[in-house]
Amino acid sequence: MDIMDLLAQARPGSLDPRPGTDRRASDLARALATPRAGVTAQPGADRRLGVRRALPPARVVAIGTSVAALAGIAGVVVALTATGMPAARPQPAAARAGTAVPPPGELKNAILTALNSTDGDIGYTVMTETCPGDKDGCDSLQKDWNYPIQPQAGQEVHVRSLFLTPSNTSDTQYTYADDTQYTYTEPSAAKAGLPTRTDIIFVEYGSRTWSDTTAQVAFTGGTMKENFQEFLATGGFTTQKTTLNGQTMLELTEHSTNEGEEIWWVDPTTDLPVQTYSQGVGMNGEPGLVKMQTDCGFLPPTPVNMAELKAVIPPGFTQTPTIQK
Amino acid sequence: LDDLVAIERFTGLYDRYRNLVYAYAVSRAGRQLADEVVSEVFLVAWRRLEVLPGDPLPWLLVTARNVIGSEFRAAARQESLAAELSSWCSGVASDIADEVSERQAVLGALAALPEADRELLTLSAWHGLSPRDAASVVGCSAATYFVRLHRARRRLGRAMAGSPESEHRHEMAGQQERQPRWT
Repeated sequence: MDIMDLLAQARPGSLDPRPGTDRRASDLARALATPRAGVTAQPGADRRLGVRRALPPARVVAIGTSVAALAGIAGVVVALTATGMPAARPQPAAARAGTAVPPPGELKNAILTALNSTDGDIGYTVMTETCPGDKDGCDSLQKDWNYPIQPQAGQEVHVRSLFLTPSNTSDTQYTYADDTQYTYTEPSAAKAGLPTRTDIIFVEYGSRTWSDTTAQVAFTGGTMKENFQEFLATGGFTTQKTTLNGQTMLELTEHSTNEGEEIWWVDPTTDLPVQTYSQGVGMNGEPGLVKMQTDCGFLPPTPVNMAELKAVIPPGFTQTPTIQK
Repeated sequence: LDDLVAIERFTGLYDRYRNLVYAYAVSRAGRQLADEVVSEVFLVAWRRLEVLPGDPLPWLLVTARNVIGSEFRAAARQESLAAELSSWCSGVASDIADEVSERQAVLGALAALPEADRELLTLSAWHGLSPRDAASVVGCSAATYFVRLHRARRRLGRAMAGSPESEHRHEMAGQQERQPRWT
């Protein structure tokens, strides 16, 4: 029996209210005695409350990002670099240029050490999602900028997320959906993941509007380091040297026959991840339901790179009334 | 909304979703706090009735998640949750020993998982949310949700395989073969 079926069958009876403890009357009375609030909205709330994110100011509305380019998403980063995106900071070469694959323990420590060295950088990721097994589809492209990558409690954090969806007129192009800029103070570890007061600039391309608001937002997305640690903790995987977009990479693969697959490609000269690929399974173990590829970049906090953390309001977009949550 | 229409809509909402919110609250904060969570969630729902989506369950569970995180002291929540998890592991009377053993293995393993894993697994298995809705509750994309769920399933499988109560090691062969090679 599938593990999710076992879990469903084990549902404890304590999840159901005990007979004779009906609080309906008191709950309804309490609520109805309270005035209703005015209309409010939450930028991007239905898509995600957890965040990380970021695009070059000159790029407006329907950019044409080809699927071919996305297939080798590192190519997208290269292309952006060629058109004005800041280049990633050169990393010192490690003594890992030989043909041998380092022992797993050594490699794990090297990658975590390298990730620690990026704590003050701007994290930049380009993530593509496809859901061939989902009738509703989920195809999207998301670019995120985060600064700093690993914020400390009390530190001001800047996040920008640019979300693109497939064009209605072409299977091979993406269109800007929204661009969101978040600024907040990193909460203490005890309050991590809880809603925190956040200044938000939200640009919506469909309605050609933008808003400037303050809201309570929960930042639940893990950092790249946390994600990698979680990957390590998941279980066994294999390592090998391989080639990705013409460059030698260390490939870390975790998979099982019917449980999906996850691959991390690590640059052996920097020990930093450059790309990840995940293929998830459905609730009942259906393979290939969703595929996600993420390109990773680590940018020094130069003024030019810091400017990428700001959402771009295209000319002609109108501001909607400020919303206070 | 006209007041009468709003009241009618709200009471309908309460009657339909109260038990679902309660179940989520129990699984995240334990029975000791669940009633308070439910009351607070529907107070928020009434105040923001105008913006509730057509399918309000994910919205209600996100609100419950926020209420649990912000309205109670961490120590009180942990105490209540620990009591709840303990009750899951203590077993429920059944005439069929195998069923008890199997159930104990699953619940014991689930209780031993990190809270984030437990939430991912139970949102789908117990609270009936679609992957897309579950993703919106935990605040991530559908793809990210699937990846996290994949990891959580693996950890649950390993925890069950290591459980002395497990009667299903043969069914977990796939997971057993995937013992960590990196320590």
